[in-house]
Amino acid sequence: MPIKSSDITPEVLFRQRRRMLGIGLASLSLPLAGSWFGDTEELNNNIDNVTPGAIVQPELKATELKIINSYNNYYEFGFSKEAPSGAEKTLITSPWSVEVGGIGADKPGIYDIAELHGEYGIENHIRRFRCVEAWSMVVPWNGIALAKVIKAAQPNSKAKYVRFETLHDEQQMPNANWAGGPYIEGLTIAEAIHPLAMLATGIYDKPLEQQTGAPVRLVVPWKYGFKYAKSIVRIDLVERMPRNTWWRQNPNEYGFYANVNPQFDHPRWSQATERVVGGFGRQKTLLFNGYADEVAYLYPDLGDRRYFY
Amino acid sequence: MDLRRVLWLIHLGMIIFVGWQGVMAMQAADLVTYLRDVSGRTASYLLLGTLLFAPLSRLWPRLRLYIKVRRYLGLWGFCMVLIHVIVWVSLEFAFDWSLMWQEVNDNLFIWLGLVALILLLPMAVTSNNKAVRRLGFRRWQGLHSVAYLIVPLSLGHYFMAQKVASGEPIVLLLVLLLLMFWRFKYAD
Repeated sequence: MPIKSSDITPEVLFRQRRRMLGIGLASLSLPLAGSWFGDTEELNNNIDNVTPGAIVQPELKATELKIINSYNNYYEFGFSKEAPSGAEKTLITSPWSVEVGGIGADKPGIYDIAELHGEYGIENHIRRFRCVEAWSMVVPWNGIALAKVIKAAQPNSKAKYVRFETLHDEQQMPNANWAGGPYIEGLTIAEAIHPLAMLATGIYDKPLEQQTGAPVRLVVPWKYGFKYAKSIVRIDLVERMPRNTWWRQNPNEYGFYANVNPQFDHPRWSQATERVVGGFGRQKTLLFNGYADEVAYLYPDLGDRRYFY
Repeated sequence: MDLRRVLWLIHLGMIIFVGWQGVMAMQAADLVTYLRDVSGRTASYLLLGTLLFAPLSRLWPRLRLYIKVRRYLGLWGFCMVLIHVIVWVSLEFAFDWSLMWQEVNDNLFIWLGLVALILLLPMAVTSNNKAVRRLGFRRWQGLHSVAYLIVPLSLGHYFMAQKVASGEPIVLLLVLLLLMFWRFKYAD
C-alpha cells in the first residue's frame, strides 16, 4: 500500500512530540546491576558508567518514513532494495509471539507484542542507522528496552550471549532459504543489556512494516545494520557465541561483533564514509556510529579487528 | 534489415530507456544510488555486448554488415559510464575531491573502474571513420583491442561492489569467459 503524504508525521510536529517525550528519553534508567550473569569473558560487564542523558540526540534529522519503508535489505524477500516492500502481501505479523528461553534463562516465557508493550512501556529513540554497505539513515524507533525482556527471563550464570532468530517460513517468505535456514543474530549479554539496545516495534509512532522487520526487530545503533535481526520469533540466552548468519555466509568479510568503525574497512570497500539515503553527498562515518561514549567500554581493545567486522 | 534502420532503432531505444530510467529514479527511495547503479549496470551490458560481435559474426557472417552497430553499442556504453561517473562525482560526493580520493584509495573496486574509464576514453574519442583513417586500420584496431581489458575490468568492478556474490555480475562474467575462450581459440 502506498503511503500517502498525509500519513507521514510532519517533521516539526514529530520533533515537538519527541520533545514532550523527552522526559521519557532522559529517564532511560537501567534497573540492572551488572552482576546477574557472572563475567562475560574479557568483556566489561559494568554498565554503571553509562550516562543515559548522553544518548538523547535531538540534533539528528530523521529520514522520511517513505524512504525508510522503501529502501530495505530483507533477503528473505529478495536481494534488491525494493523487493522487501512487497512483504506485506505475504508476511502475516499478527498474531505473533516471541519465545524467550535458552540454557541461560531461569524463567523462559512466550510473549506477544501487545503484552511486551503493556508490561514494559514504549520508549522512543532517534538513532543513526549505518548499513555495512556504507549507507545510512536516521530512524525514530519506538520499542522496548531489550534489557527489560532479558531481565524478565532471569539470566543465570550460563547466559553469556543472546541469540536472536528470525521467522523462517517458505510460505510467507519467497526467498526464505537464501542462507539455508533462519536468519540468526547474536549479542554478548553485556551488549544486550546496554540501554542503547532495543526491541523495536515501530517507527515514527507507527507499527513497523514488514520490510522494516515487523512486528519486532533488534536495534543496536552502534553496530552495522545486518545485526538488527528482523521479525524475531525466538530470543535465547546461551552460553556459546552464536554464529550469526552473515558470519556463517562469509567469515572472511563478516564476524560476530560488527561494530561500526571507519578505520576498519570491509575487505572490498571502505567504511570511512557513508551515503545518507535520500540526500546528496557523503558524510564521514563515526566510531561506533557516533555512540563511542556510550559503548566503547564494552570492548577492551579498540585496536582488535575482531570487534569491527 | 537496413543498417541505418537498425542504428536508428538502437538510438531510439536507448533514448526511451534513459528517459524511462529518469522517471523511475525520481520514484526510487534513493535517487543517487538508483542513477549510479542503473547507469553502471547498463554500461556493463552494452560494453559486454560489443564483444559479442567477433564470435557471433563467425557463426553468422552476415552480421559483418552490421559491424557499425558495435561502434554505437560502445558509444552508448561510454555514455552510460559518463553518467555513472558524473552521478558519483556530483550527487554522491558533492565534488569533495579529497573524500573521493580517499574512497578510491580504500576501494580496490573503484580502482578497477577508474582504470577502465581511463582506457575507455581514447577508444571513445577514436570511434569514428576519421580516426580510423588517420590512425590507419592496423593501429586503430590495436588501440581498440583494449576493449578486451576494459570489459573484464568493468565486470570485476561490478562484481566486487556487491555485498554478496550476486547472480547478475556472475552471469556477465561467465558470458565474458565464454566469449574470450571462443575469441582466442578460434582466432583467425
